[in-house]
Amino acid sequence: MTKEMTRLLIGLLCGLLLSASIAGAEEAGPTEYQVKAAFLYHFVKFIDWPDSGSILKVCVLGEDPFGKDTDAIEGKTAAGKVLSVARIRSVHELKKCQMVFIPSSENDRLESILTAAQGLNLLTVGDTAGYAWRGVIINFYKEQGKVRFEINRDAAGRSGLKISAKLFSISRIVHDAGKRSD
Amino acid sequence: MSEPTRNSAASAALAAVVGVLIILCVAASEARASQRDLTQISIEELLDVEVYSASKTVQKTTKAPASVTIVTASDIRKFGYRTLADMLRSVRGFYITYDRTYHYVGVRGFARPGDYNTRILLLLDGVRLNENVFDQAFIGNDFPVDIDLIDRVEVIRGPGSSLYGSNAFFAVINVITRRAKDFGGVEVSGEAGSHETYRARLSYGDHFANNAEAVFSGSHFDSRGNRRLYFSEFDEPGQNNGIAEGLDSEKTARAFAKLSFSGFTLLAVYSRWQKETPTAAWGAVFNKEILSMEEHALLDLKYETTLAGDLSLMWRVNYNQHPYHSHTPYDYAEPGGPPLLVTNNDLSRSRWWGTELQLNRRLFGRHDIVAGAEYRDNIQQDMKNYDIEVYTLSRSNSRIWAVYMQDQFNILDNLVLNAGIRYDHYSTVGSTANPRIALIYSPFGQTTFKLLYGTAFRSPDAYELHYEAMGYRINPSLKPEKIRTYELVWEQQIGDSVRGTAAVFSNKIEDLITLTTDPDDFLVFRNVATVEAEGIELGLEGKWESGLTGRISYTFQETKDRDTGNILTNSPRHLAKINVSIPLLREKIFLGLEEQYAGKRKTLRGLDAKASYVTNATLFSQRLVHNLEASVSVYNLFDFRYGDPGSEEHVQDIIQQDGRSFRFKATYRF
Repeated sequence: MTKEMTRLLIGLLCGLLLSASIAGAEEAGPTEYQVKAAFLYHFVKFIDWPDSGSILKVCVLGEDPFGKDTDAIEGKTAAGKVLSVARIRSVHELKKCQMVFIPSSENDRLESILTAAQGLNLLTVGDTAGYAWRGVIINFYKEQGKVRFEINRDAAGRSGLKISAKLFSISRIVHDAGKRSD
Repeated sequence: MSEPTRNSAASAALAAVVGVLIILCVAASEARASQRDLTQISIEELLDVEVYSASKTVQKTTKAPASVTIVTASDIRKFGYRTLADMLRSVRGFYITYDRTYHYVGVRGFARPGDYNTRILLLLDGVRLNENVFDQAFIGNDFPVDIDLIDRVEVIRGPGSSLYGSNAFFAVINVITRRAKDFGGVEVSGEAGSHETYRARLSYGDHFANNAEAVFSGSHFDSRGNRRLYFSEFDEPGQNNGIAEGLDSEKTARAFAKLSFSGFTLLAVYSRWQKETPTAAWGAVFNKEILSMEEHALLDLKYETTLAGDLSLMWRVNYNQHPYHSHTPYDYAEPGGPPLLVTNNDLSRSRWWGTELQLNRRLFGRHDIVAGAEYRDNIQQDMKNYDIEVYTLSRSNSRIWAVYMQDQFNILDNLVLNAGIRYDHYSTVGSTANPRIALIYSPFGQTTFKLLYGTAFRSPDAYELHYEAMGYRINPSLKPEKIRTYELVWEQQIGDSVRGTAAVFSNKIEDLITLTTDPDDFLVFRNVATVEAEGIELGLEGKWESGLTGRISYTFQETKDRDTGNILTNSPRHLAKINVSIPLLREKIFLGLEEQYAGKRKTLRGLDAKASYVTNATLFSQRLVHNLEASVSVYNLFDFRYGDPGSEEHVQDIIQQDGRSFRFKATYRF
């Protein structure tokens, strides 16, 4: 029994290994959060923050899904601003941020986060179904393995930020809950 | 200790495979192409980048139709957990009994002596791990996967038969393994601890083009154990004055592979564990080696895909085998004659394969439907016991099919009705249907109430149905035992940092399968006892900006046999736990402190195992030097002397637990 099992195991592992090394020889695709981090960087080029300085603080609130994936944008310059990524745990820290990413871990307290974000000229970004129509300005979703985003036009209007028409043109437009046409 | 040679050959082969594997894997990782800079392309191009498969959406615990606790990989590191049992000790309402062979989990005041964890369902990435002869779930060093490969453990309290079928009686424990992304290359880990305990692990995990990912790992655990264990029950000159010398060793070899490719996930797990039993259980000769071996091999292929729109499909097929073997020395001497030592062999062979299809769909905007069907074929459920002649030879097999459905009806944004039912058909004991209903209401954003009702069953296992050794008689009319549970849970977010939970529960277990003795002294399993349990659980969990985290919980429970009115054995009235992780140097050095209290527990002989206070401390550092993680742990810091109640097979009424012990561990990522 043991012998048989060991042989089975060896065979199996070799098979797996072979396929893994073949796969490894090709170019690896970026992870979902590497792409999302890159989007956060690109958004800066299409948005005007009123009276902002030369440093643009990108905050991640709560359970951080990015990990090292934000390293690629840390310290990068976009539209003359240097990006600085920070992890925050409390809504009281929101006033330090120009952009905040709200992960799905905050689903239950999204409304209170959005209330705290009011009047702070803050770009709110999420990646959870329903976030946009609940009032988050930009919300990522996935389609055929690609990252797309939707923009809540009402929330964008309330935010005090100037968002270029170009960004709207490549996004899916949504409205606050209750105003939805579907 | 004379280990059969075929085992050492198998171990050597295993070691060789792991070694070769790791070399090749390192080579593969070197060959990986560097990634392009996504900030240097246009936003339109970025929209066209195909990404590596996303994490499956995990249900928020506040939306789950149960009271759920999650223990994470971070907890494993910060509190120095060595086994799944260590993790479960920290969970509200759970307690562990260790008889120096197996670890047994008690839930909400229920831990029957002699119950091999048959009343919890243990899953690995959703695959059932309870074997099919004794229905045993293994949670100590006999758990088939190395603890460092665990991403998180989801403990779902209450009956889960409406989705999972048999054994999901008190809780479902789903162990989820780390993804390839969490490794990002090679990981090496080693540890050394008291009682000459060593562990070494080599793992490799990474993701590649076309959404492919792979994880491979091999590890070895070896412990001499406590070299001198004193048992007063055997304190006689002829019995080495009650000292079991060098009879507590333990060894585990494990191999793990997980490969994902465009919707398919292949999981392969192998483990081989052996433990010496120093307690002279089952009437064995004292201070002689009793050796138990458990082996588990699992192969699971899962396919997940999204069909039209919001319809998603999961299909899986798996094969498991779990042989068990133990050697026990008996003295068959004539009264007054010279000793006649004979080694008794106890064996079981457990093999099964199963398949499951599950569909998820959102309907009419407000209904999330889960529907599925499962088939399991227990190809082999054999037991054997012999020293020279065969005492027991029970060969059996059985088949199970089941269908289930669950509807999460989002009535309002803050009101959810979750209803599910599962119908199981057993070729051995017939059919059973088990519903679960949960009403989840959030009157305010910060407050959630859950009202839960459910039933669950446990079908008699092959051992209870077919074991016919000397002294045992088969009961052909044995049927499943049933549990009915009511629970009210209140979850409250307090400020930004603290979350509170209060739960009141009531369990009623009927037709409990119990080993009884007939007037002619034969042992027979019967559906006799009715047990009622009531209790309250309180928990607070906090996470602060500074990195400070903590959990504190208290459980009061009363578990009674309805006919006698007596509190059950091994059922503490009070349980309290505190876990605090203090950042000493932000993000880098943490002090993890853990305190576990269990009230006194009644033993089989009507005595009390005294209340226990166990304190564990772990100093953990990460990223101080490059990718090195290191920790020092002290378990049972104050060397508190306590014991767990023994079972029917023990002469000892109370089995002494370990005093203070130490461990040093280091992990490095390349």
